[in-house]
Amino acid sequence: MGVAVIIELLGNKGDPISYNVADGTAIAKGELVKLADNRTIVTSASGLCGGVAAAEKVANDGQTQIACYTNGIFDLLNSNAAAIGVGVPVIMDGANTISVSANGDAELGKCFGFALAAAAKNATEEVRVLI
Amino acid sequence: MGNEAIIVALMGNGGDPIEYVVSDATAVPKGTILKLNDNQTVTLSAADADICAGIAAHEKVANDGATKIACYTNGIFKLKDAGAGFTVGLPVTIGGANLVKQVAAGEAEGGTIMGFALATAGAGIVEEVRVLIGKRY
Repeated sequence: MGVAVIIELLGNKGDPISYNVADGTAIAKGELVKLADNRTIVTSASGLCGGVAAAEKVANDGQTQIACYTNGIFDLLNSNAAAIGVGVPVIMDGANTISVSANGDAELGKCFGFALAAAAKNATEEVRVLI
Repeated sequence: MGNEAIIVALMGNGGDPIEYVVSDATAVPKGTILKLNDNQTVTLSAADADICAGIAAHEKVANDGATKIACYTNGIFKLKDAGAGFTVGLPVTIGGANLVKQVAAGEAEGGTIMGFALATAGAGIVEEVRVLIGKRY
C-alpha cells in the first residue's frame, strides 16, 4: 500500500494531533488515516481524513495512540477516477488514494487539502494538507 | 457570557493568534468565540451564521482602554453544541453566543466554517472541536 511522502511539514512540525487507535491495528508511517469515531482513527479508506500517520504502529504492540500530521505538503496518489486540477480541493478515495472533491463535500467534512500541482489519473502529486 | 471555550491543545505557533480591533466598551471573557464584524474587527459571537474570527486568548474588561485583542485560530477546544448535536468529523460553525452547530448545506461558501468535531456531541453537550480559521473549503 503506497503511503504519503512528506515534502514539507508546516505549522509547528506538521501540527500533529494524537488520536486513539485500536491496539490490533497496523498503520504504516505516512498512511492517510480515517477518522472513524470520537477522536479515533482507523486504517486508510474512503471517508473523513484524520491526518497522515507520523509514525509506524505495529499491530498488537500495546499502543493505543498515534500522532498524525495535519499541516504540510505531501506527495499523494490520485485515484483512477479523474485528473485533479491544480488548486482544487481533494478528498480521500480509497486506501491512501485521493480524488477531486465534488459539490457538497466541504459540508461533509471530506476536503482535507488541495492540489499543489495538476495530477493525472493514477499519478502522484504534491497536495497541501490542512486538517 | 458563559460557555466559553476551554483550551485542549494550542497548535501551530502557540495557537496562531491573530490580533483584531475590538471596541473599548466591549467586555470579552477569555475563551469567548468572537465573530468578525468589520475590517479586522471582532465582537462577541451571537447568532447562527456569524463568521468566526477566533477564540479570545485573554480577557478584556469593558472600558479598560484596550482596543486590541488576540484570538487563537489554530487548536483543539472544548465547545458547547447549540442544541441539535454534532457528529464526529463534520464541520461546525457558530450557532449562537459561544455555541457551535453542525454545518448545513451550502455554508462552506459563506466562510462560516470554523473547524470540525473531533467527537460526537449530543444536544447542548460540550465536546472537542478542531478549530482552524482560514482553511480553504
